[in-house]
Amino acid sequence: MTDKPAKPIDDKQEYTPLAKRFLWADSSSAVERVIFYLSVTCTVLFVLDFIIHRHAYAPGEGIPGFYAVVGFVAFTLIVLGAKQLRRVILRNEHYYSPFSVDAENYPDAGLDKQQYQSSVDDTHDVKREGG
Amino acid sequence: MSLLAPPFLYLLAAVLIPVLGSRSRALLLLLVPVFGLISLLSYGYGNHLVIPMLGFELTFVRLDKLSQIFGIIFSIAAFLAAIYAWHVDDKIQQMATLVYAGSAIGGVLAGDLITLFLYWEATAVASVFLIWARRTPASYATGMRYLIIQVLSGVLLLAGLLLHYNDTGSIAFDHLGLVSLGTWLIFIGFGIKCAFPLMHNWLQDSYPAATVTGTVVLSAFTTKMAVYALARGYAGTEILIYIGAIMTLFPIFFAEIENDLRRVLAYSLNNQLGFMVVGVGVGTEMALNGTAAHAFCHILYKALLFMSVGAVLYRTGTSKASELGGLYKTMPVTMVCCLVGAASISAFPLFSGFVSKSLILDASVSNGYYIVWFALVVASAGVLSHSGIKIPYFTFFAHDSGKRPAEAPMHMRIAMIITAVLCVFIGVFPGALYALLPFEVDYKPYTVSHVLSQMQLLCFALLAFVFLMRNGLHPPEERGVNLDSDWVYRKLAPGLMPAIVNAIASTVTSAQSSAKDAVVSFTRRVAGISRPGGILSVNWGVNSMVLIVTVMMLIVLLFNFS
Repeated sequence: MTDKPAKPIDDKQEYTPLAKRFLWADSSSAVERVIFYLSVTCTVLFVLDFIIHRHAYAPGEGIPGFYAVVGFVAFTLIVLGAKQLRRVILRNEHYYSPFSVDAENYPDAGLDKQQYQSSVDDTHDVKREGG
Repeated sequence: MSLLAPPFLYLLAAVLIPVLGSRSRALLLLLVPVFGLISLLSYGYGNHLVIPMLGFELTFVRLDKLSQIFGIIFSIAAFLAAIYAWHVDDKIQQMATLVYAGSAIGGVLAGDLITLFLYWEATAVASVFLIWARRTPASYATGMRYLIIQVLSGVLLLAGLLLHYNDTGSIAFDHLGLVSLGTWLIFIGFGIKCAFPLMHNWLQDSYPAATVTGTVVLSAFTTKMAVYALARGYAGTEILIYIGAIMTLFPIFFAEIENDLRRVLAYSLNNQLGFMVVGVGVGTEMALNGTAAHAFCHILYKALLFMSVGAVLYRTGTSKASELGGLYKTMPVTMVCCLVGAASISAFPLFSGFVSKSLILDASVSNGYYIVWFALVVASAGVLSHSGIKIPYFTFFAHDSGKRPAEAPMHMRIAMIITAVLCVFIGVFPGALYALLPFEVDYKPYTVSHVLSQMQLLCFALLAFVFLMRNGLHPPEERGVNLDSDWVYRKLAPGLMPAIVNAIASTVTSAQSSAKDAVVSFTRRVAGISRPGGILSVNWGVNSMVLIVTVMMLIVLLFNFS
């Protein structure tokens, strides 16, 4: 199947109403605001832990801030640990070729690609090939 | 009537596929799960369709609350997948889907181990066609690897069942426990399909290789049939608690750095299975309720996530995070559905994962498994990282890839919206799900403690994400392949093969040449003593001949003397 005729869609007026509601994601000031709200939420949740008595089953679970610390530290360690793991196990996309689908394109026969034209430069197309 | 029993209905419909037109086939795929579910619900609890065969009594429908909930969710999954795959005009995929879904339902309804084995193998053989339907040499190779491992699981089940029958004289599929070699073999057979650590790679290898719609179908059945089988046969087996805890943890790291989003979801599926396996291992009524509930919710939100990534693949031709980003602008419905799936799997309050996962966590902590419980809490933060954030963020937001794909087709949107609504419905009204669980439920997920602790965990994990992104510590999405334990049979063993073959060949060659040398030197010697002047060429006198004959006769006489 071939791509449908392209039509320019970077005119924001052409986005559907649902998509327009998310346009803030492209504005750095709005993202800052969201992060601010998240920080406020976290602070409130942390303070609540000192006010509300949580029912605790496991040793240590009842310490105020337990879940906050575990959430932050676990997430950070997982991401940083995964990053180290990648240094060891990342290989080129063609590593298992031709016996794996990693390096092949999905066959067009099973797709219905429809792409609107975009004015944004496709600059990041190929990143570093792993190896 | 018996032909309309759920598994047979699917198999009968599969036979009709070749003779039907394109749209009637799609319609058939949609209707069979509906009638299958009606048929399932029309049976009362107990054994039905007990058919004597080869001297055994095979029970094709054993209905109790445990098999019922799995039968119901399998029917729902088959129905949703049929809506999602409405555009597919491929008899092989449609037939495979029907046989596969029917066999999985047959597997959970099986009342004895022989019937279970038949359906166990049928799911393997039917499902591989959803991978081969991609129709590339690479998918053929991947499918072969998948099939070999799936059939191995079936062979272990068969071997175990024969030994078990020999030990006990029973083929009943009830609680087995790890009591003999036979039950151990069955356990390992189940474990392969359940993707136990080091037996897991078939899952991450094959699911991203299947077709857009095939992966959605695959994600629902095989592994959850194995979870059901473990819950039926090995509830309360302590080793499962630790196996499950490891399963929740290690896939997180791989999911975090994987670039193909369908493989990220496969790792995430593996991690979710870990929660269910812990529930089976704890084995109390509450824990088994947790396992069944989590399987139910998981099938829905995992299908939803595979659907949304599949829709992106369908429109853009890629599911690689490094190639995507900024798609919310033109695929907003897919994006919102993906966010619902992400919130459900991350177990945000008011979404389905929250009401099922907490049953398992509470069951493990209240039975004193504190370390395992802590592992599950850490794993919950990990789930947020790869499924909750990575999937939606790098697909629909993050840096703009410049891709402006059209929104998913109408039928895909309908399938995703229905699934998303179910995820939210279960989260808001958990009572509906709890009523289906195998045991009486006396549990309130929405307590202040519960909601507060979960929100703290998730919000602070989100804060960690912001912190890592801001400081450039979050690993970027990179193209590439990540090695896992399948490297042993995909690279190491094939790599060693030439060396082994060479070693054997050189041993054989050197043995041959030394044998040849020995023959040659022996021949030379014989030739040497037969030459004129050699010992054999000497002219012997009559006297010496008589002497030799006498000695020989004497030897014969001595040997025959007794």
